[in-house]
Amino acid sequence: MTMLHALFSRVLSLFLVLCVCFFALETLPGDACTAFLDQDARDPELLQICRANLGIDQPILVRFGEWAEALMRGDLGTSLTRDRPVSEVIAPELRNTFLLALVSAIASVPLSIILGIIAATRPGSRLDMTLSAVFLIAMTLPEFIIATCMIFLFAISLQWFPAVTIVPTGAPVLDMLPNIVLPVVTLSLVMVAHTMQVVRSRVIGILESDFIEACWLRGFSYWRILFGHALPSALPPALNVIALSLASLLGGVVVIERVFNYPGLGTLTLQAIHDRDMPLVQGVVVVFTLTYTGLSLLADTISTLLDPRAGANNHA
Amino acid sequence: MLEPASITDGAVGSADQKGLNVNSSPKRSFQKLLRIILSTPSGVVGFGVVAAHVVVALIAPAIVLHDPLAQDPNQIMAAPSWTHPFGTDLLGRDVLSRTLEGGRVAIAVTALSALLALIGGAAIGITAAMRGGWFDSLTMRLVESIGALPYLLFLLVLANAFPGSAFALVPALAIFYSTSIVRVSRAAALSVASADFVTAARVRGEKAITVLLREVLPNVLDVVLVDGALRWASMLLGFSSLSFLGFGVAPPTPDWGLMISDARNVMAIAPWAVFWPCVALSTLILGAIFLADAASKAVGLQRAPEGLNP
Amino acid sequence: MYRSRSAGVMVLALGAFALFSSPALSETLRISHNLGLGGRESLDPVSPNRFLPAIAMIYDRLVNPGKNGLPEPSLALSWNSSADFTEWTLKLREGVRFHNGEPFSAEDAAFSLKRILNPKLASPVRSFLGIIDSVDAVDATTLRVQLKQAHADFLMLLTDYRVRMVSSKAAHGDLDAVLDSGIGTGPFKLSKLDARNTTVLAANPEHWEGKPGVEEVDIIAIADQDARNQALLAGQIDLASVAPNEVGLFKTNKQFVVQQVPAGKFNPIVMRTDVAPFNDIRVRKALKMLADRESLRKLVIGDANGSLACDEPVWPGDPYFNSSITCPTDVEGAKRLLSEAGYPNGLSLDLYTASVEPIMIPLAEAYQAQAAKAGVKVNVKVVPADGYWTNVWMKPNRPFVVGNWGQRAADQVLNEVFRAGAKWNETAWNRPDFEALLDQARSSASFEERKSIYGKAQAVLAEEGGQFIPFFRNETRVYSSSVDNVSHVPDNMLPWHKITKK
Repeated sequence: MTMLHALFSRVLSLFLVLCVCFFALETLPGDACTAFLDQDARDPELLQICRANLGIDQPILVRFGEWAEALMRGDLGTSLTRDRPVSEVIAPELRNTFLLALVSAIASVPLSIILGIIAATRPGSRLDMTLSAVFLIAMTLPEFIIATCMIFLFAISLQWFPAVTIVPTGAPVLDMLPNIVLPVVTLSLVMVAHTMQVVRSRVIGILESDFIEACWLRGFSYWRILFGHALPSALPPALNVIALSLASLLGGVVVIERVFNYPGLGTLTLQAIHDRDMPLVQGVVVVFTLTYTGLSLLADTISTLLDPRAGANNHA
Repeated sequence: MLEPASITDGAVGSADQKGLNVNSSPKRSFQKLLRIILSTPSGVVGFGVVAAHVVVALIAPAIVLHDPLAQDPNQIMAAPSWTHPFGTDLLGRDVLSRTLEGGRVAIAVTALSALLALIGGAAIGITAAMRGGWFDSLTMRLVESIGALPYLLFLLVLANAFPGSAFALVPALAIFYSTSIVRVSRAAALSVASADFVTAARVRGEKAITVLLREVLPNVLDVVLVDGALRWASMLLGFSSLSFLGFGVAPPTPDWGLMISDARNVMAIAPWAVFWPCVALSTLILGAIFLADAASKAVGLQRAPEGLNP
Repeated sequence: MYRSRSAGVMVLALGAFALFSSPALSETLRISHNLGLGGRESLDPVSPNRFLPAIAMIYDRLVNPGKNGLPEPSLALSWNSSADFTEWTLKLREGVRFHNGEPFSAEDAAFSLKRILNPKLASPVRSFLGIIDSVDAVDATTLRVQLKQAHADFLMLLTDYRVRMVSSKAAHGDLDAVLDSGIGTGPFKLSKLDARNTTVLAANPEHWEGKPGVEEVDIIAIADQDARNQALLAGQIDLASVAPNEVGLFKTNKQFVVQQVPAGKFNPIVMRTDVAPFNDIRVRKALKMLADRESLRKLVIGDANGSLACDEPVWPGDPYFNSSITCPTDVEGAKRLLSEAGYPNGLSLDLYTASVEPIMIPLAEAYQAQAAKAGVKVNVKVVPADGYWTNVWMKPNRPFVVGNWGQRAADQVLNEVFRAGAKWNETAWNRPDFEALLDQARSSASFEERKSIYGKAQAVLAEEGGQFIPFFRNETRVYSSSVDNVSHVPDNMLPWHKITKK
């Protein structure tokens, strides 16, 4: 029941998001024709022909209908400035961005849980303080300056990794790997900075609770309490935060990809925004939104599975 | 990286935890919060740093030694000296003056957005909690939807459509960052709605708006302020990213984000041009986090840092 | 426990790097391009979207620019003209072959020049080579060019970086075809075209000048200037142009060689003369008069890295340079002119720029500060470098932008940029009397007379034109110390085939 309800509300939100996305983007001034036509943009006739060719002279509701209907069939439309289906334009970049996000997630999720637990079991210790200080600083600095420091240290001084990505967009994953090291380290640093504190405070909170007190009284071992009881109770809410960070990580790649010249969705979006290529922008937004919704659904499901009690106040 | 979406369940639990202090006016509630904040070391530090930044931003034009826009062809990337204690940048401009004025636009834009988000978000959240029903469901679905949008992309699209003024971003920033405030205030309002003093006020036959202002608002204000402080910190970072991508503050207006991104490539030869604006931005965000941390401890939340995320 | 985990991540990452990164090939020269055409870069040398520097490596010219821009033999060995300079005969090199094995003949040369004249291809080159009336192959190695009007320096026009020889057979003789196959006679052959990522060229061992110095050239797309510098610093590319104020990053480093080549590159602040308020000559004059060119040069590139200019697009190294034009700073005069033009309280203008060339943003900012002194509020709009030329430059709704030009010979720049209808007429300059001057200069037999007429044309532009040109800048080139034999000449003259790499 709860799961079904959750699913239904997600679908409803998704629909709302797509409406917001379409109308917000379409009502902005300027279009692909004014942005793209040469000097000829002053000529109303040429402008009209261009708009007719691209099909953007239709009333907005008609276009929304067509767009939504095509979307139902999984068709994201055609890029106005690249003359190719949006899905085709997005696909290679999407793969690169997902690769970046996936490796960052694989590196940072366990790391933030482990560091969080370590800090929580020794609150106030020198280790705890150091970790907190490092990640607090990482949390207050813009990503692009962290990334630049990484480049100067690891790519220019030590020459361990490439400074910028110069392999082709469609290169095999193996060729991509050395190039994603610095972006991944930067993204992970920021992500761990944000999530480690959550895990830490959750675990501390649980360790101080009556429930754990009871475990102590019953003579359970330290490790059993930590991993058998404290962690399972602390993880579900932390997972929510982690899922949200992962989703926002997809947004943060715009900055990171720019710094590292990485051929991903962020770079593509910047180009599309500048070309006023709305179908492409909308396509990217749809992909991001689906990912976000999927991730938060996943986090909810895992939370529910791990801790039945969480199910009750899931929809607070 | 930082997105405005936030965590709801923490606030729900906390509102239960903190017990229902019966405050009678928003002003008193605010004063009490401030008093508690200033009783902890991190609260004092956070409050001091943020206040100092705001004061400097306000009086900067009167105290700078050089015109932050003045270019000196003979002092390009000059190292710190008595005339230029923080050195000069790529166009021979005084880094100290630029750092002092570099927060003005960012603080104004983000504080205004945060304030709007706070007022609007709290109003919507509390109303949703009190009215319930279809209004509540619709609000929550909308909040969820906006939270799911890649907000940075939207801001970029907006900035591209209305180039030139960073203030054009205020409504969008306010809307995106208000989602978590709506959730937090709604949850907090729900937990007080059933409290005896609210019921008592209703039984006394007081108007809904009076109940809201007198009984509910004072009791959710602290939780909302904590979240607002964190939203603000996160907005400051997001705003610097916009400047980096070329969509925030237009040159040559001094702006920390812009200063950092302009000089980052020469940080090996002119580190001072990057270091000082970084310190300024970082301390302000740190101050806001400390402030929120102290405030959340004061209201019994215990886990402020997570609020900055994501 | 966390230590071992993070150490593990590190080891994995290092291992991945060691295993999968391609080793730095000593025989591969890696350079970058700025993706200024947003991926629409074309291998057709006469296309407005010509892909630099690929076309310079794939195709040869008939004549190369030598000292003072005078022509030197390349695919053409010798040339002469009729007494009235209307008919030119070129003797071509024998035994030259295209990359596909076909021999290069006068047919191909004629085809290559005819293409430029084809209005369908909308080539920017057509604006100054439009004086060609007809081209024929007399025999396999003799080319005859008939001009519509006399031009004593016609061969200088053929030294342009886009007037390159393509294969008529590869295009099946179709003059309308857009050539993207990359079949030329040049020192490098196309292996893979991918303008958005990496374009690969392989050495052409049968090149008539001998085997090139490197086996392969990779042309890597890096749109962002900061990223380009970092790639150079990190050893991912071997050679790049850098901003003069960033030379400090490389100067102290033994791994790099910094090369300063005197050149006539320039970045005009472009005012469209057909769009208000720039259609008012007083506004244009005021916007030029208010500038302090010396401090602009000092601020943006440094004194040693270029020569001052007075809005004439011909640089001091050119034989036709008019050295008598002066342009003192006059802020009060500028204010007066503006108030006469109806802007007594100054005006506010949006100036578009991008980091296509590293100095383009600093120039806008430095100019902005000077303009403020004359009551002109310049709003600098920084837009993405990626696609700047196709999306921003020469758009009537962006009448005030920062442009970027490579060094060009006098006749070429005057005809290519200032003839009505020329593809790259960025100021929308439309002046029949000015064009008459150019025609007159071209047909004049005496160098002194030509110099005086071209000088007049420059004076007209300095006085009334829509380009504000504060200075010409040198080529500031940085390359890895493993690279050798980089000639001390501007980019458009650089013999790429001579470059070697250890």
